[in-house]
Amino acid sequence: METITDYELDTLFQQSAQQHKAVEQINRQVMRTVRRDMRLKTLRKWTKLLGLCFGLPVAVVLYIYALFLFMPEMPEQLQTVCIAIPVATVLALAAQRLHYFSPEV
Amino acid sequence: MKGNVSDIELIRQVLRENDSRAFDTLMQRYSLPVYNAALRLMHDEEDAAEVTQLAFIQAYKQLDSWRGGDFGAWVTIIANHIGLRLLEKEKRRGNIRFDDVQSTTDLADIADETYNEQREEHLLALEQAITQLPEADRQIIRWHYYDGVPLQAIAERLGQTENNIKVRLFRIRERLKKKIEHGNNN
Repeated sequence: METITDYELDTLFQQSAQQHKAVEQINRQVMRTVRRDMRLKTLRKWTKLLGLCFGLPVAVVLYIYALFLFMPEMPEQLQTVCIAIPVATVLALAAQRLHYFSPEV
Repeated sequence: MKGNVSDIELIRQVLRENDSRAFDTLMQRYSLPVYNAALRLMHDEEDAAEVTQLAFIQAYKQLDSWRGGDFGAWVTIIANHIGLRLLEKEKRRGNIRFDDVQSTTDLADIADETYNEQREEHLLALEQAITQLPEADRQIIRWHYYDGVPLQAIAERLGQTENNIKVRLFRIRERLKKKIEHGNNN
């Protein structure tokens, strides 16, 4: 059976303390990265939400206003296309949402 | 502090609530074993620290791909992959002196050969022995050896004489020595 001397125990304590310090330093650096990433995620989420709440209605209003302005001068086929495009976009977005829908999120 | 919360619950909190404290708790739990595994592979403290750091950052970024099981083991696997990649890079740069390295398995073997296994075993045994001590004794060890608090100050904190603390520390040390010698079996 091996025996541990006082000197060896002191050395072990020293090495263990050094390891703890190294690990604490690692933890701090990793957490800095993690917190920065989380802040960015939150920022992206809010930007998306603001875009959806304000950007989308503004885009729709502008589109309708443009249609209202230019529609009378357009040929009939172009009018159909102008109405079909937003309808198709809305349907495609809805289909995409349904496709990726997860009840957990 | 989320000491008693399970790993799964902590991971859920990170993913759903963006809770950084939950990930901090996971790190506190597993960073030392992962660091030790990285040290075993890299045989260099700086490299091991870098590998551990990268492994935890990667684990955080891929947290949604974790499919249950031992979280510590999962991060250790990530650390091993990163470590082997680093060793391969070093080998290509010619920074590794070993000429007979053929594969990543060889690299791991070489890292293991040069690694002081007994020292790491003793360190691990010491860590385990400390966790088995009563809280009051553990606190004295933590203060004196990890925070560098002098015995006089510990005595003042605990309202005891310095001699009392010296005797107590001597007994704790004897207990720890026995535990390390017997591999924590008693």
